[in-house]
Amino acid sequence: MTQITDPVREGLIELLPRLRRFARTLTRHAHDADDLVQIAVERALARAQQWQAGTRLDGWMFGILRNAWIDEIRARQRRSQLFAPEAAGEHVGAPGAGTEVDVLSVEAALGSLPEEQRTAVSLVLIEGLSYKEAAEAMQVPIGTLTSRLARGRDALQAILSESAGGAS
Amino acid sequence: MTPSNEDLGAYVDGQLEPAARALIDEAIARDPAVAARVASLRALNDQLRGAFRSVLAEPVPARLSAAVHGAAPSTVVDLEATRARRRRPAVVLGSPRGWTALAASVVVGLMVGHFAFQRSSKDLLELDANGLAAGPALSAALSGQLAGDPPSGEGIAIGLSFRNKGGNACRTFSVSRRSGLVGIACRNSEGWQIDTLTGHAVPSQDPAGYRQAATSLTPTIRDAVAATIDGEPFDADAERLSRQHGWR
Repeated sequence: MTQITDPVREGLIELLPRLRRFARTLTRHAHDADDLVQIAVERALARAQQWQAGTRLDGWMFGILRNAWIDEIRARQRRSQLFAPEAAGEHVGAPGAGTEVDVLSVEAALGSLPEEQRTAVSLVLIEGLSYKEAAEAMQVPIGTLTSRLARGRDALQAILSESAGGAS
Repeated sequence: MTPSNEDLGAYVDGQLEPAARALIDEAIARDPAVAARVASLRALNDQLRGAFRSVLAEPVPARLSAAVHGAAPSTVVDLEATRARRRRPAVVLGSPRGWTALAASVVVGLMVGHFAFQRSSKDLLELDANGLAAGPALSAALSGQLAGDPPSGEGIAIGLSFRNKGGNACRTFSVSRRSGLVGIACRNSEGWQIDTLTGHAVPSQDPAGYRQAATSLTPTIRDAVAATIDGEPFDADAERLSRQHGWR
C-alpha cells in the first residue's frame, strides 16, 4: 500500500502560485489556467509515487502541467477539425497561431510565439529553471531547448521593439 | 570572436561554466555592441518576469488548494482517509442509518473488491461515506477530457455528457485498460460520484480494444442515461463550456 507522501502535498501547496503563473503564460486565460493547474495537480497526485524524493518537485510538476496543456491543444485542434471545418480557426484555433495585434504587451507577445518556444521561454526566463530542468520538463534534449529558447527570445525582441517603435 | 545569441542568452541566464562566462565578460568589455545585446537580453528577462509577477500575489483559488488535499491516498478502500477528507460522519453501527450505509458500502465494496486487485483501480475508484466516488485518475479524466479525446493513459474514455434531473452534470465513461468498466459519474459539490457502474469484457489481446470501449454505450448505461437525463446530451460547445465552469 502506498500513500501520497506529505512532502508532495506540502510542496504542491507552495508551488500553486508558480503553477498558476506558468499556466497563465501557456493559456493566456486566467480561468483556463486554473483549470489546467487543477488537472495537473490531480494527475500529479494520481502518480505521486513517480516523484523521487530529493529531486525538484517544481520541474516535475511543470512537466505534468505542460503535458496537460499539450493534450488540451490537441483536443482543441481535433475539435476544430471535427466540429468546425468551415470556420476552422475562427475561434478555436490553437493559441499562438499568429493573430495580428497592433500594440503588443509582453503577455501578448509571449502568447504569439509557437507553443514550444513559449514554454521554453516561460520555464527558463520566468520560472527560472535551469536549462537541464527545463529540457527534462519538456522531454527534449538540452540542445533543442536552447535553440527554442534562442528563437523565442529573438522573436520577442523583434516583436517588442517593433511594437515600442510603432506605439510611441 | 562575436558570441552567438545562444551564448549570450546562456550568459544572461547564468547557465555558462566559469571559463565560458569569462570569455563573454571579455567580449562585453571589448565590444559595446555585445554589451548592448546583453543589456537588451537582461531587459527582456526583466520585462517578462515583471509582466507575470502579479500572478504570484493573487490569492490562490480555494478549489486548487482543495485539489491538493482532496485526492485520496491511493488505496481503494481507505475509509478513514476519505472520511476525514470529506468531514462526513462515519458509518455508525447501531443506528438504522448506519446499518443502511454499511449495507450499501458492503455492496459497493464487493464491486470494488472485484477490481481492487488490479493495479490501476486505486486511481479509478474510491469509497467514501456516500458510496463510490471517482479516484484521482478517473476524476482527472472526467474533469478534463472531452468526448472526442483519445483515452487517457489509464485507458479512460469519455462518452456522453448531460445534465440529470437533479441538475448535476453527468458523464458516461469507460475504462478499457485492465478492468473494463463502463459507468456514469455525476458531479456534485464534493467531486465526481459514481452513479452507475457495470463491468464489461474487453478482449485483452486486442490493441485497438479501446476504440470499442470508447464508443460502447452498453444497454445498461443507455437505459440509465435515459432514466436520469434532463433534456438532450451536451453538444461539443456545451461540453466545453461546462468543462470551463468546472461542470457546475
